[in-house]
Amino acid sequence: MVNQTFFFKIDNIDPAKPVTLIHVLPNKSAAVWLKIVEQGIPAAPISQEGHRLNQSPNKLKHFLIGDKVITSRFCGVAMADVMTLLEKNGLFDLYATINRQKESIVKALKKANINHGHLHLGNFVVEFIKKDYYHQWMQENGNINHIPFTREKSTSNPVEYLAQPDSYEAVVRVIDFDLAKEV
Amino acid sequence: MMLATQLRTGVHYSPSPHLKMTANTKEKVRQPIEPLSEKIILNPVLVKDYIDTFGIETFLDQIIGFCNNAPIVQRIGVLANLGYAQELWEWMMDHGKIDFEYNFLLVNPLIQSGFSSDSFISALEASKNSNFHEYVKLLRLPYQERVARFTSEWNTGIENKKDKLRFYLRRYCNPQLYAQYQSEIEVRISNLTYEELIFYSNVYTRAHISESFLAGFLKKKNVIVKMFIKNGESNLFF
Repeated sequence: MVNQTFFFKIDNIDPAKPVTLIHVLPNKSAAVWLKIVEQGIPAAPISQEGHRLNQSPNKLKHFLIGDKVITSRFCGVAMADVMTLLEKNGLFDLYATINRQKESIVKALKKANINHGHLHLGNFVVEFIKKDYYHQWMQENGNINHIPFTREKSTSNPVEYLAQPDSYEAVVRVIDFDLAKEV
Repeated sequence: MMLATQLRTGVHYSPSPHLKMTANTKEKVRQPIEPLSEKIILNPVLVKDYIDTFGIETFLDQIIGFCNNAPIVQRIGVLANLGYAQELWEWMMDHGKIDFEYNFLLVNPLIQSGFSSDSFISALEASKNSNFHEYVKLLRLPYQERVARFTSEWNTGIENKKDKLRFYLRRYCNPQLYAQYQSEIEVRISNLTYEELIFYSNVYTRAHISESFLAGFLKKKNVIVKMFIKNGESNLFF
């Protein structure tokens, strides 16, 4: 039975924009994703573009199998890739920081009675946000999932972080909600 | 119901003999200590609740009876990353738990948490396990040198991803089409943004790279869309 569809889109008009991902998933999973985002559990951010796609069916619609279109953005490199190299090279400060964040996300999901469905390291990503920008946003808004993306203020490249660890905040997010459900 | 709530509301209260001072000694409140069980230990939320209520020392005191079970020892190791590395290390020293069968399950999490107290490093050096000796050597390298090693390996990984992308395009595209666009492909690969490259490295391994992928990749159209259907993968690139 076909039960999973993803769409990916690359916005190649403006290089300052992030890679945009289009997901089509069951209503239940989409609702769980929305709940996670609104509760402030660090997750793949949801962009407004998805609403437009849901409201105005276009010629792609008949190729889609799923209930709901949600758009998000590329929001970091797979944690598994980063951690392997950090461990191998003895960079345990960053290793421990992102591992702690992963543990907190796992706990927060459990507390919220959410079963992600496939919570492996490939479904956690890490990006690095300029400290001042991050703290100002968190102080004023409190939800990391709504922080506006700007290329000047964030990077997915751990090399940039390691060169200036005091300038960045590592942010781990959980992604891929096609099997997510409330328990 | 969370453990703390159970205790507050009296539900599941058991008049156990484990009456001890709580972690909050200032208030001098005596609370019954819930006997530790596998169910609690294997649930990170309940573990946190337990430690918040009774303190890490009580948790470690009680856990000693469960250490014959690898999944449980693994959960104990997680404490290192929850801010209890020092307590865990002291507990291990108290119980002679270095250089024994749980080495990797307990020592590795301590290493990975960045814990580097002098006594810990000395114990690793004295250990018979040569992996730990390598770790100590690594830890003693200056930070910049460790970053330089990481950067070199990371950049090699990026170049490998580009090579793989070239390989898949060459392998799966129509040979005439590939030959026709070879120079454009090379320019596109060279100019991929960091995020695009990471994105493609996740996509192309599970996609059948096709002419429509190539058209999208070379920006022949504005949008690239990939459709991936479980149990019957197919692509649609615009």
